Amino acid sequence: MKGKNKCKILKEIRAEIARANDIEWVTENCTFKGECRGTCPKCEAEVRKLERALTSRKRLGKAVALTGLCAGLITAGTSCGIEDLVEEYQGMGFVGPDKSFEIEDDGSTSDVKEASNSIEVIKDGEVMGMVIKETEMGELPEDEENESEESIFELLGDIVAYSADNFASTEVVKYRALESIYLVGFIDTEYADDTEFTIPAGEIFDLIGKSDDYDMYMISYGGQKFGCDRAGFEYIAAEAE
Amino acid sequence: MKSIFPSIGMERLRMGTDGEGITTLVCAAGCPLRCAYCLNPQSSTEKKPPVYIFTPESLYEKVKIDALYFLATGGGVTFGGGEPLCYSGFITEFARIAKGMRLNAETSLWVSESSLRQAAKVIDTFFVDIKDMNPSIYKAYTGRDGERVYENLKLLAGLVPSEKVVIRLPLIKGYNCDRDRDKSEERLRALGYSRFDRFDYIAK
Repeated sequence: MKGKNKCKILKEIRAEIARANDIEWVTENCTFKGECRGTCPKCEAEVRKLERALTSRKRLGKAVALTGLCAGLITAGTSCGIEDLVEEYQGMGFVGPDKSFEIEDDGSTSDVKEASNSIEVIKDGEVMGMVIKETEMGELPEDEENESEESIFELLGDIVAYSADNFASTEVVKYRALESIYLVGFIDTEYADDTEFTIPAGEIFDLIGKSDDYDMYMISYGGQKFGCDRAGFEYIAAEAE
Repeated sequence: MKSIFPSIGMERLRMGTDGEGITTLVCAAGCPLRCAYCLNPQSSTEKKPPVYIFTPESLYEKVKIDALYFLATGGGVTFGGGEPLCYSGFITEFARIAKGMRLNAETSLWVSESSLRQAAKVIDTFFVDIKDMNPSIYKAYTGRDGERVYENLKLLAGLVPSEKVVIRLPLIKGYNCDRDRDKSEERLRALGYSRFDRFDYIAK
């Protein structure tokens, strides 16, 4: 989507939400020129303002309506799933269509409760989302970079391994989990079995094999061997001293 | 226990590209395939991309900023990548936190049966890029045997209604043609699938 089209559509959605909820709504023209992601502080501030207005409306006992607005506003060919009015608005998240499901209980999970229709009112002054920086109208500062989450692990150096076959013997490299990490791995090279396992924080495990062909690592821990895909492994370990 | 989702990035406020309404795309690092024209080559962990590690809670904190748009347009979060279903456990935990939020997945289905079963419980719409149903074409393009994908397609057809699955049929220059796509669609319709999206890969 090029230019200001996205911004225009988002602005229309916000205006429609305001109209549907009898919220007095005045928008200012944006003078920014060029492609727009729709995430400038001005647009973000309007969303926060709308959320506060909806919450206030609910607090007054009035119905909150969030209608499906995508037909004609989003790219043609997509269909909008929400046509019904959503009357309840949950403060810290939102309530969409009722959604309930069961999770197999392995002793470490709990059944998921159905989406609640109760209202949690946002307290005055509390807003959802990011801090809005003040800026001049039309000015589009660079979006904040995705800041790295505080790391729960540290990778020191490269993982050194070599293999002649899928899981040839390799130089055993010891690693230490910095935090208790839950992984899904596989027992054999054919991905026939999935195994969920946890390496408790502080525990040391051995990297005993690496498969270039399947992009997997073989880990030995607790007397058992597990295969683990590279993406899941490389970011959870620090080489033990 | 803590599930993690290593992400190469996310994009907010997408429209009409990966699901109904307005969506936020969250891309996973890592993929079992080695496609010749990978859409997101930076997702390959061989290239050691900068990766942002999310917990279910931290990802929810990031995406909920667009909750109003999600509600108003029927949108939500789309997990892509890379191969997001490698992290079905994470997605399940995320779904628990983000109650009511629509979740989509863009996947190759080259994942384990248990990962797919787990994802099928919480994903609202699957976008499956099938590459091609011809095993030779699939192997040539992805470097992997496609039998697993075919088995998962059969499994998925039994797990979710067909309207929850959109099969993407790409035209991949040098690998397949329209006749191949027709054959692929025929095989997929025989499995019960009815939603298809034909598009062309454009090699740059």
